[in-house]
Amino acid sequence: MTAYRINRLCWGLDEDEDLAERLLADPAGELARWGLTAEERAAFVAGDVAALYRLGGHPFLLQYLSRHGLFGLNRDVYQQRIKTAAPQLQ
Amino acid sequence: MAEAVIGIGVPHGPMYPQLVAEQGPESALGRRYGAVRERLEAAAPDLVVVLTADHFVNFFFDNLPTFAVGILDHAHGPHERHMRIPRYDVEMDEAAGAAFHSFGIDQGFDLAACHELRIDHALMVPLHFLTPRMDVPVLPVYIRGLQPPLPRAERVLAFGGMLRRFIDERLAGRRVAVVASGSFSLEVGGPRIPWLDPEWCGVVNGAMQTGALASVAPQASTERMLQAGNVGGELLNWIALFGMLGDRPPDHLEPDGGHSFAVWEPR
Repeated sequence: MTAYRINRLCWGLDEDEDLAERLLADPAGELARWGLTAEERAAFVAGDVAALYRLGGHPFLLQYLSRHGLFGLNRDVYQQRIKTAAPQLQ
Repeated sequence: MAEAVIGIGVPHGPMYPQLVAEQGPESALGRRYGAVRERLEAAAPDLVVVLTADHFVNFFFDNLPTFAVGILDHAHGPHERHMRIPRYDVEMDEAAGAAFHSFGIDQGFDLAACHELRIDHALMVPLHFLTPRMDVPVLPVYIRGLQPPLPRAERVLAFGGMLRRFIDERLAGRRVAVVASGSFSLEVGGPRIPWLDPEWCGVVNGAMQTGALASVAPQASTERMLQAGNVGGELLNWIALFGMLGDRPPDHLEPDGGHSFAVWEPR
């Protein structure tokens, strides 16, 4: 179960001021340090927040990606993409 | 017995302080908070218990309590740097926090104890509007509301009943405000932004109007709350307030979209 690591990375953006910079400078290298699956890494790189949500990302934390302008995300792109996911009610 | 107990429920939108700063205290939102603040000030509390859900500021999935209480003499916030909310140092009531922790454990509610806390917007926005001089000490109580699995609503209702016994038995002579922070229906960052579930809000507001506060909990399964939005679990803070109050209608109720402003005056 690595949904934890998806969320841990997103949460880390508010805890570690340098994380966003490291992700912008070397996305593949930084993502490789987080114990993510290939599918998860690909979803991050593509800014595919709907996929990250399906994989267990908490929407509250996924938003941090757009706030930091990572992986091509901004507020509008984030909203456009997250709306393609089916809501989870558990 | 406590000398007086006032119950309050308000939302905590992180943009509200900036909105009211721009639009003025006579704006619709400014008046809604203002009407609650007037009643709070009339009750002259010497302790504000805030029932709230931590928004990933104190607790992450690595260590996430279902119930937690602050046992500390002050805290600072809000911690979220990107939010346009004034920063405050807030005095907290360490002795009351410690007493509530022991009382809760003794009553079968296994609260986590927090001797350090970072204030998030869910705790700060109500204080910003209701006790803007930050001159009333705070007792923060956290209920897991944003990260399923959530506690069962009936358990939270009973938690509120335990809070009432604590106030009655251990806060003799105090004047206590109990503030529930949160929405009934709201989607933050999820697929249904912006989501509003009028039917569910009607259930909650209807129960308040008739005073049948305990009738909400049996209907508030996790699935039903999350149907109303991914932060629908914030309703649990209100359900704890309902348990603290017992069945009676509020003296002031202003429904407003996915949340309400409500006051139960001391009696």
